[in-house]
Order: sequence, then C-alpha cells, then structure tokens
Amino acid sequence: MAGFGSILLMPSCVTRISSSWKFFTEEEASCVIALCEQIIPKDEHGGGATEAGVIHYIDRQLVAVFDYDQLIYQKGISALQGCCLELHGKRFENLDFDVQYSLCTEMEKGGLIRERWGELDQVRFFRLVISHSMQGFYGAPRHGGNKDYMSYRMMDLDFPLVVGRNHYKHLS
Amino acid sequence: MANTHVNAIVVGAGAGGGVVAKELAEHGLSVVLFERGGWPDYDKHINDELISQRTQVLGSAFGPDHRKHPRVSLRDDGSKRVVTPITGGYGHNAACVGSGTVSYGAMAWRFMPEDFKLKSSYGHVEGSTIEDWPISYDDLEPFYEKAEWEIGVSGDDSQNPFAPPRKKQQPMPPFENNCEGKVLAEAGGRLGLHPFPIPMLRNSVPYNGRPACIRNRTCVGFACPVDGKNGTHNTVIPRAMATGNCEVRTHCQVAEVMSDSSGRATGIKYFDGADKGQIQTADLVILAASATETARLLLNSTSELFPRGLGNNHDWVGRNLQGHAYTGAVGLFNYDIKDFAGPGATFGFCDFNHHNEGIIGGGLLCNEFNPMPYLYTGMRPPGAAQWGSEHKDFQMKNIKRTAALHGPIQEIPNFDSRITVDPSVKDHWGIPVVAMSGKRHSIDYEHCKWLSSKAEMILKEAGALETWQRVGGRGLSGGQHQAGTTRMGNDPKTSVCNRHGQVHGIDNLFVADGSLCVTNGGFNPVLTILALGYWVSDYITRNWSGTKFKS
Repeated sequence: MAGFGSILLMPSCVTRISSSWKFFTEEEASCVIALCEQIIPKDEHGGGATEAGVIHYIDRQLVAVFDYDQLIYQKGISALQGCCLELHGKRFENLDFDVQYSLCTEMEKGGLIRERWGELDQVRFFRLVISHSMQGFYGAPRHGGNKDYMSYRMMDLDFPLVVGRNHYKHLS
Repeated sequence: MANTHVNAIVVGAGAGGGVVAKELAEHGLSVVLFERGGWPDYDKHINDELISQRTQVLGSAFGPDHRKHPRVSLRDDGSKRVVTPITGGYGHNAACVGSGTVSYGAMAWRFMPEDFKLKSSYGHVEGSTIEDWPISYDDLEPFYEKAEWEIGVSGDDSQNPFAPPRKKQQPMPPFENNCEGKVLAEAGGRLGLHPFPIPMLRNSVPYNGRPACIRNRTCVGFACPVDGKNGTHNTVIPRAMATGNCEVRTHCQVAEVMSDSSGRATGIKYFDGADKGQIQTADLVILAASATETARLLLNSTSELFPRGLGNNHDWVGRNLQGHAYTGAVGLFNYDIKDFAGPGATFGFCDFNHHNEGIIGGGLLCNEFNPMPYLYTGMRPPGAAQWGSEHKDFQMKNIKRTAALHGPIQEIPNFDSRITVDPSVKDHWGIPVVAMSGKRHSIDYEHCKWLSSKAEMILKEAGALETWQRVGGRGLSGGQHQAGTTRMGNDPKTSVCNRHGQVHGIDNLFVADGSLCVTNGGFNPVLTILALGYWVSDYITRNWSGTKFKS
C-alpha cells in the first residue's frame, strides 16, 4: 500500500514512465481515485473507495478481464480532465470535493461540455466507473479492492464466511 | 486412435443429460456423456460474489470461458451485439458437470396439470404459439416422483392447497422459514393467501450419503461446500459411472451431429480438451445441452436431407424460446428482517398460478434468495441515488432491512422469440454461435404488473415502511430457465420432437432438456427437466434391443 499513499501525497511528482500501476499512468490513477471516492465516499460508516483500494481492483482488471474497457477509461479520463481544466483551470483530482461532486452530477446527466467527449458517451463512462467501483468496494478482497472486508464490516455481515459457523457473531 | 463405438452419446451433463446417462447405463447401454466444462470445484470460487453464477462480472466460476464462447444478441432493428458471460445478456447455465444443478437455488417444483394444457385451459392468444403439451401431468407424475427420490427433495406439499396430486410424499421434511419468511408468510395469511415451504433439492436432513444443508449464506449462484445441495453431479452421474457403462468426457465441445444418407444419426463431431477434432460414433444420440445450445447443435448439423439443420425441415428448431419473466416488489422495514441464512428463499404462494380472472397462467411468488452486497447495490427505490454518500448510506442501513417477493411469470410463447446461429461469429473452435432474437409476448408484461402489485400488497401488509415494484416481462427471453426450442408435439409440421423426445423423422436422435417444454410453467423448471430426463429414458430403455429399437 506504500505506493498508493505516495500518490495521494505527491500527485504532481509522478510521470508516465515510472507508473506503479498495471494499466493507469500516475495521472490517470489520481483522477480515477478521486472519481471513485465521489462514488463511494468516506463517511460516518467508515472509509470510502480510496481506503478500500478500489483503484487496485480497477487497475488490475483493466489488464485482465476488462481489457476491452481500456480505451473508454483512457478517453473518458482525458475528456473529464479537459472539462475540468476548461471550467476550473485544475485537474479533477485537484478540485475541492464539492466541485468534484457537482461535476459528477453533471456527467451523470450528460451535462459536461459535449465537444470534449467526441464520440464517447460521458454517461456511459460514468456508469462504467460506478459499476467497477461498486464491484471493487463490495466484492471479494482477493480481486484487489474491499481491503480486509471493510465494506462487510460496515454492513455488519460476518466475514470471512466460515463454513458451518457463519451464524456466530464475529468480533470486529 | 479412433474412439470405440458406443450405444449412446449424451451431450450435456446437466439436469436432463445426467439423468439419461444414468438410466441408459443402468439398463446396460454403453454411454459417453459429453460436457464442455469440467467437474465443479468448490475451492475455486468460495464466497466470491464477482464470479458467482448470478453476478459473473469477472467471469463464471463454472464456465463457460468468456473468451471462448461468444454469442450474438440481435436487436429489433437488425443490429447485433456480441455478448459473453461477463457482458450480461448472455443467458446461459453453468458449463460444468451438473450444470445449473450445481449452482442453482434448487427449488423443486412440479408444474401443475393446467401447465401441460395451457391452450385448452385458456384458448388461443393472438400473436402467440400457445399450445398443449402432447403429454399430461399424469404421464409425467411417476417421473417427478422418481426425480424427487433419486436426486433428493425436501418439502411438504400437504401445506400447499394448490399442489398437484401426488402418490408419494417428498423424501425429506421441509425447511423452516427464516425471519423474513415468517413475517411475509403471516402477512400473506392475513390476506387470505396460502403460504407454504418451498420444496428444495437440498437436504433438510442427511440423505443419500451426504449431510444436511448448513444454511450457507452464499448458496444460490455457488457450489455447496458440504455437498448438501443435490444435483446430477453428486447423484445420478456418479451412479452412471459406477455401473461401468458410462464415461464422462469433460472439456469437450460438440460441434455437430452426424447423420447418414437415410437421415439417421451416426454420432457426433467434437473438439477435445486439446482442441483436437474428434469423432464419436453411436447407435443413439441424446441432446441435453440446454434450450440454446441444443438448438444450436441441431441447426449446425446440416445434411442433404436436412439442409436447414437436423429436425428443422419445418423451421421450428430454435423457435418459441422461453424463460421466465421475473417480477415482484421490494420492501424496506425498520428492523433487521433478513438473517442471511442461506439460501434465503424459504416459502411461496401458489395462489397466483392459474384460476385468476383475466390472467393466463400466472406465476409463483416467493421470498428472495439472499442478495449479495454487489447485487444489492442495484436494489434501490426508483429515483434513489446510484452513487455517492446517499447510495452508500442506503447500503449500510438497509441491506438487512430489505425483503423482496418475486416470482417467475409463465411466459406465453411466440414464434419469433428464437435461437438461430450466426455464421459470421464463431467460437474458439470455429463453430457458428448462438444468436438470440425476438422478444417476449406483450401479454407477459401485463401479467408481470399484476403479480408485482400482489407482491407489493403483501409487503405493505407485512409492515414495510416503503415499497416499490420491480416489473419484468419485456425484451429478450431465455436466461437460466430457457426452454421450448425443440418443442414436443404430435404434428411434425408444428413441432420438433414427438411425445417421447424423439426428433420427428430420426428414430435414434432425442432431446432431453428444457428444449422439449411446450410451455414453461409459472415455476422454476428444473424438476420438470429432471422428470423429462426420466420420461425420455423410459421410452428408450423399454424399446431398446441390443443396438437398435425393437421393431
């Protein structure tokens, strides 16, 4: 998880060449991390997508099962960043949480600057990231997300499922 | 080296195929049971929702491999989309020994007598191919019983006033209701309905040398870790192998059924686990590959006598594709109504199957199988947030406070809901793939709205704070309850198989899966498919003599 933390601390110090990700560039990863945190934010129930490592899930699957979604991620991130720079002069991950939120709300409705998206449907892009975030946050930890079953703790579902003993209340 | 000639080839080791292999092997026929997948392995997918049969976003633990088995989904406007198990819209059953009987929720319904004579009960429906079966409930009753005892069913039909007549009780006592089931069943009772425990192909007590169910949370969509769920993989297929007459040949993709100049089947062409083309000859060929894959196999088996595919000279192969339009309602409660004991579904009502004014057929209503956390992220009232803090808050607060009632509406079949093959899209072995097209009859949606309103009424009576309907019934049919594509009938011009599952005009080619079902009932179909396996086998074994049918 060390590399993960350093990205958050030094988003501007990284380059494409030294990317610690399987698929994303460091810049792309910073954007997706912020986007996923909007989709599943940290709140009173506990950590959000960032803490659960949702980005690890998405990054890993984009070079495996989801390889056919690579282009939509690259183009989508680029289009979103184009919109952010045009509207606010900053990249998505560097904007305030509330500003990011309203941008996502617009994207969900297809309301971000159309020209920036070319043939890509921004609603489709956002829905794809929503699905992948949910899978990474609520799915099995072995795929990279849901660190230590943190979403299961929040839902008060016992974990790991111990065959034949899953009626016992686990200590959390 | 050429494969040794055998008496019978069975294609597909699922519900129907497993039963047929066992019956023929016990009768002394030499059998090869072909399966495109392998033996199911519990350790490969323990407790992992993302590869479960219900949510295959990262692929299916049971197969098929999404990179090797594409399909085509055809839209109304003629455009097409290539689909796989991970893209959705693929509509398949598990590809492994046991198939859906490994991963299912295991409801063990008998269809009702009316389900076998839908047309004579209700009359013709415009735009449909509604028809009676060429066999009755009474014909199939002994074979339902055999399936219940040989595979293993827990249940008590005496608690269901609408249950069809039976000669013998189910072999194991029923399961108890869970918390949610008690609340909803009582509410139904107050409304004058008749709740009763769902018959299940799971062991409520130790049975057949295997232990009782442990109520594992991850049941439906998963293999059972203690083998307390009964399928063909842990009952009839091992029994077939124990006779010494049946070989189970796994990881083999069957490409076509071969036939001779007189039109009789001579065997099959297939690709083995090393992708090598092989031939297996036999006296008899029985197809039980599911309503989509059985139809594909027939359509891909062309000859001079059958230029459009075996059994397809009247263009009925692949037609009348049915499934079940699932429909129901969801309710939110102000306490933890869900205990997540597996599989979740415990009781049902048959009040909405038949004899309801203005409804043709209808459907069962049950409480729902446990929705796992990712699946639950899609269970929200209309207009609710799909992301963000509101969505997350809903998930954490309500996953245990949500109960749903839903059920399978009996679909009214139509000619254009169908399977064809797409010669331009091929699988890993170069075989043209299944193309699915057409849509459900418009009346299905009306029936779904009706059943969803009943579900919502019960949830309200049970004290739900908020309820919403989930109405199904539109779009492409098929799915895990796929049926109807080689329907049985007495007239060769309007059906593919006769009442024994024998393809019209080809005495040594049979079908023994859901493809035979003329209509699909308002119930989960597996017990009917198992019973049809016994029914078809019974005809074959009674008339078989050495290497051919008695004349």
